[in-house]
Amino acid sequence: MAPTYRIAMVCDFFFPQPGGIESHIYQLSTKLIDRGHKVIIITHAYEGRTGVRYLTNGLKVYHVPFLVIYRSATFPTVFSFFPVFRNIVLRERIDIVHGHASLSSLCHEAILHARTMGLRTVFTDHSLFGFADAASILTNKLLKFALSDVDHVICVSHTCKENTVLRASLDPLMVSVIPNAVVADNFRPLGYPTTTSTPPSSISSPIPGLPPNPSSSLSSSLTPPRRILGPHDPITIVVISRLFYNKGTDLLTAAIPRILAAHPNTRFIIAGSGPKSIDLEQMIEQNVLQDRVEMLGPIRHSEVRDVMVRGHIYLHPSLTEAFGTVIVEAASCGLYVVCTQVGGIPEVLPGHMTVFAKPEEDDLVAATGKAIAALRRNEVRTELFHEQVKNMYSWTNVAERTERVYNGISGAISEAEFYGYDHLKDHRNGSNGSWTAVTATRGMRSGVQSFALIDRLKRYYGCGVWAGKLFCVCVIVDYLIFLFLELVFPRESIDICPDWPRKKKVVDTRREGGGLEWGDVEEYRRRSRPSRLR
Amino acid sequence: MAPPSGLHQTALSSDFETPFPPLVRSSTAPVAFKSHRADPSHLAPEDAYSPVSPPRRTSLYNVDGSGSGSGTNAPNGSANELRPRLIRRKEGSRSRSRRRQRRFQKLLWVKQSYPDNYTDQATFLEKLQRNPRVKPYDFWPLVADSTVIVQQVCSVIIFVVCFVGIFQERVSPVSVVGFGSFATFIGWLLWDWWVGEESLGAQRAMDGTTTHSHRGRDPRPVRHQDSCGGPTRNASIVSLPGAGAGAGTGTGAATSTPASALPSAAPSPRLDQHLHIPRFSVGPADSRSASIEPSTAAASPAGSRAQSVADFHEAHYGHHRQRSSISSPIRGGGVLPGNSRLQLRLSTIKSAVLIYFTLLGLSPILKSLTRSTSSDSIWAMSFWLLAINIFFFDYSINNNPFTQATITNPHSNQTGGIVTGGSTPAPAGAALRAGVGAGTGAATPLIPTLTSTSPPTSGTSTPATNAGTGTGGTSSRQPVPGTSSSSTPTAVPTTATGGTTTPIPAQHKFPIASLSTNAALMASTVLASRLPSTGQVFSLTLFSIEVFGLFPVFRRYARHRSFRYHVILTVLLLLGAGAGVGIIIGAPCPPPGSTTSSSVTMAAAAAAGAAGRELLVISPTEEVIDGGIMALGWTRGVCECWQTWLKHSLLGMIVSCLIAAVAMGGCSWWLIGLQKYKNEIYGPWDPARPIIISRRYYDDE
Repeated sequence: MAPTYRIAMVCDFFFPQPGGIESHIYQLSTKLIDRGHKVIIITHAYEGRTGVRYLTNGLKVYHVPFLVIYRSATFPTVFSFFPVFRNIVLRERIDIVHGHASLSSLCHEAILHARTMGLRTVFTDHSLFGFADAASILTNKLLKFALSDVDHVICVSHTCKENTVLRASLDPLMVSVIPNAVVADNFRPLGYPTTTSTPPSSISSPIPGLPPNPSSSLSSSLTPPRRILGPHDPITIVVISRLFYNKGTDLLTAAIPRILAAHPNTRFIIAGSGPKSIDLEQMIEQNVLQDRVEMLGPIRHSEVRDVMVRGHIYLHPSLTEAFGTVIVEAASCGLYVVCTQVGGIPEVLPGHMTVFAKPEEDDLVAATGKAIAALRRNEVRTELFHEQVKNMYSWTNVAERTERVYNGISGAISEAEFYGYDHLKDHRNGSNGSWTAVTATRGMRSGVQSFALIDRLKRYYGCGVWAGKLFCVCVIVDYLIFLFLELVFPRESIDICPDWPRKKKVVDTRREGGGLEWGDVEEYRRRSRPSRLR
Repeated sequence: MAPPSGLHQTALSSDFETPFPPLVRSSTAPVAFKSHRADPSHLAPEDAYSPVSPPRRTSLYNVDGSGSGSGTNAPNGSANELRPRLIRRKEGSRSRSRRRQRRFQKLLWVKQSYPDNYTDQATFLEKLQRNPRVKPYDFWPLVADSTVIVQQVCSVIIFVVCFVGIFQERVSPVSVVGFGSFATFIGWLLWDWWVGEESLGAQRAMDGTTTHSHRGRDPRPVRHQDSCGGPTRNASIVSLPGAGAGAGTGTGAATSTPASALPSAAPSPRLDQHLHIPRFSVGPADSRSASIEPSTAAASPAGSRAQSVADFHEAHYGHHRQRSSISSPIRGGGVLPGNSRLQLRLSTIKSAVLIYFTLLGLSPILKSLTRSTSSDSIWAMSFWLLAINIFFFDYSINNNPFTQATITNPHSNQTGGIVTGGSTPAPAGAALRAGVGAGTGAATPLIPTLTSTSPPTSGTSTPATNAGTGTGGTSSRQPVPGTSSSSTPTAVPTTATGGTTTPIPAQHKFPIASLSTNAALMASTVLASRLPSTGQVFSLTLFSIEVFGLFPVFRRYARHRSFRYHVILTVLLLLGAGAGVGIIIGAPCPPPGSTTSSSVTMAAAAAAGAAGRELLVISPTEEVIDGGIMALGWTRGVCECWQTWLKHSLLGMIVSCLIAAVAMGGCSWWLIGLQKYKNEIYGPWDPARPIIISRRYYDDE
């Protein structure tokens, strides 16, 4: 029986604010609750949302009153969060503090305080940062501070992992790659049969490594009918993004007139708002494209699917992207995806669902043209995408993999298993070489970092010539505050919050979201081949 | 000892498909915190640079083997040597069942048979680039470039020396300003002559092509192609002087190839709307707007690219014509060059007179401006302001061939700005980027925008811009010429080439050059307010305008004309500054004749002022003559002790030359030496720089 944990997710960004990180936290928390853990969320107070709230599934949200400075990130006061945080942690008997988003100062503070209080910490990074500009340098130094003493880091893509490892000078084995996911049922294509309880054919061997069953996911009886496009049928290209510079709106603005000029019977639907929308509108007016480009303005996340299913191609011209959930959503809706090859995007979807372009106007136009031509030739079996995406990404799987991280840092699985194998051999053979050194800093329990203040200080000291000393001072002050709080607000006087009855852990053998097997891709290729003969 | 990592690697690669072993905990786990790097458990960026080697492995083993981590690490060597064999034996069977059937790939959608924190050594950080765009410096070019800074520092020193001289009453203020004005006048004459020379070349080139003028629009791109592909690059550059009175080195070529330079010049009907806009400097605007297109066509290096550029301009001007309802009759030929030059000179003289009288009127106010402030604050403040001037001065030497695209910008600001009705000035940097984007984008999107360098044209392009701005500044009669030296005021990136009428507002770039000029003028103002008499205040302020406002323009232009002028100017400035400092420091006694001479010059100044007020028109020439006479009298007055002065000034010159040589050489050498610490990291996580052909909406967020 695997242990269950009490987890506190800490992030500045949470509902009611919409966004990718917010829904990530919510979905992950929900699935973790489903797996028998207790999860609370700590965020700052939003307008109209203060105090303690409960969301669906018994998810408890603490809205801590804090000063918001920029785009709902709180002001980085290093210590002021500690009393409230300690109270919440003790009240809820938290074991693991899981922070999200590197721009959230609340999360960094929580990790610092949690380590002072002797808790395990995990950090999830959702974004990419460069190394050149001044803002990045500052952010990276702060991230280094926060992550000097973290137990494990989760990144949403391999590119993100590389970036985080470099930014925070982390041991790469301390960093796991666990992608985002989508709720595939919320992104069904138009006319897709509503799923019954479980598609019977999607059960496959839970043991990884076995040759996959070729008829596992594709020969489902529920496969919808093909959409055959005639040579003159209109093709709709959908763009849903915030219209910012780094989302590539400039590229989009430049590419749209050329795409529309080169391909009759195409039209665009653009949803989203932002400072660049004025450029798009000007482009539409100058080229007199009002009847072929539809601008919907800002839409809610729940309406995304309804917009997506109106189109055939999803165009994603972003300039930087850690994961790109929206292209997964689009593929799940059965759209053929044209996207720029930046950041973590190339890792996200298999090649038969996407056409990649360089972040250049010409290449984007060419790639879109290629996608349109492929659709017109009916080469792309877009109706199969939904089932495949469902098999690639699911929050249940994400929660499962996150749980393994929790197990690893809390010692439920051995360090050898968590980090690699030869460590165990070292230990067994009694070599007192690196192993003793490891135990000196990592603590006697396997796979965990020591809580001793001197060890923590050693880790912080390495952050830089001046920064290291400054960080050490911060840690010491934090520790003193902790002692002071223990004295003034003793643990005994803090009420223990009764938990919800835990859910029974669902033993789910359904293979969903674990990723596509290579055989599935070959199967897809085999099945999409005859269409070309038609 | 042999590094065991090799063993490890061969063992695994024989068993599995991956050429590299998986990164395991023992290789990344910390050894000891006593090691050289502060926290070896963490991957430092320098570990990641060789993407093949695992981050900590080699250094870990080296530490173990060499025993640099003393004491506790001593037994590690044997243990580590022992380990790989054990791994091979035991892990082989186990991981064959558990681990890969396939190689690890950086994909998220595929079902990996690896744990989530698996770090593949073959692919981890494989796309990391380190210092990809670093261009190594050479010593002598660096020294040559540093002369610009020396010039500015020297002019500031000369200014301070002059102030000290006036303040201690060693030097009569009128002689200072007389010399300054005389030098300014000479400089202006020289500059005017250069400009005239170049615009004459352009005019000839245009006259040669008037026969081509009244054709339709259609054959134009072809002709553009001819003009760019056919004649030499030099000839196409020569069209620029007409644009903004620039392009020094090409002048000779201009006279030699007049006919081929501008086949599609001014009088084509598309541009007429621009020509008839009432403007202070009609003539220059005419010639400039005429040569916009050829110059831009010349900006794209290959002849084949000119087509697309021409198309853009066609769209641009076609668009403009749609907008403007004024369709004026066709106007053949250009305006006479003499006429325009005369007007230009008149306008310059006018603005000079304006400045002169404004200062004259303001100097009593300036004199008592900071009476309530103590002198110490003034010294500190002026020190900081002059430091700001030096640090924020626009030293840029744009060695970018595509800068030619910006040459069109000032003029299309004049034309396009009028048509669209008020276009916002954008900083030159933005214009440059826009121009670059347009040029390269139109050429081929694959060309990286800023990388290519072509030396022969690079020197000519920038100062042409500056000259253009200089004339623009004077013709629009800006009262403080310092702003015209800042090279910021004229550029609209979009209207220049893109063809839209959207003015991009000035943003994201602080106009540091005007900050520098303003700081210097403010310093001179507060310094002048320490002076006791109105004449002194007036002289110092006027002198500061000459030094900080006009002189940088001239220096830039001289640098553009020829490097020899630049060097001569630098040496002169250096010697002057050294001599001045030597005199100020070394010769403490005020010369005996100075008081009399100053009184004499005071009277002369008063007389000149009275005369000016009577006549209401006073030309710089008269003023300079006055100044010259005064200076003569003054020198006669002080010649008694000139021997001590000469001695000190010679000493100062020698010392200053030594200091300058050491500083320039030393700093250049130091900068080259510092290059080894350069460490830029690029990777797929960096935001991509979009390449957009019709760079209409480009700005960094």
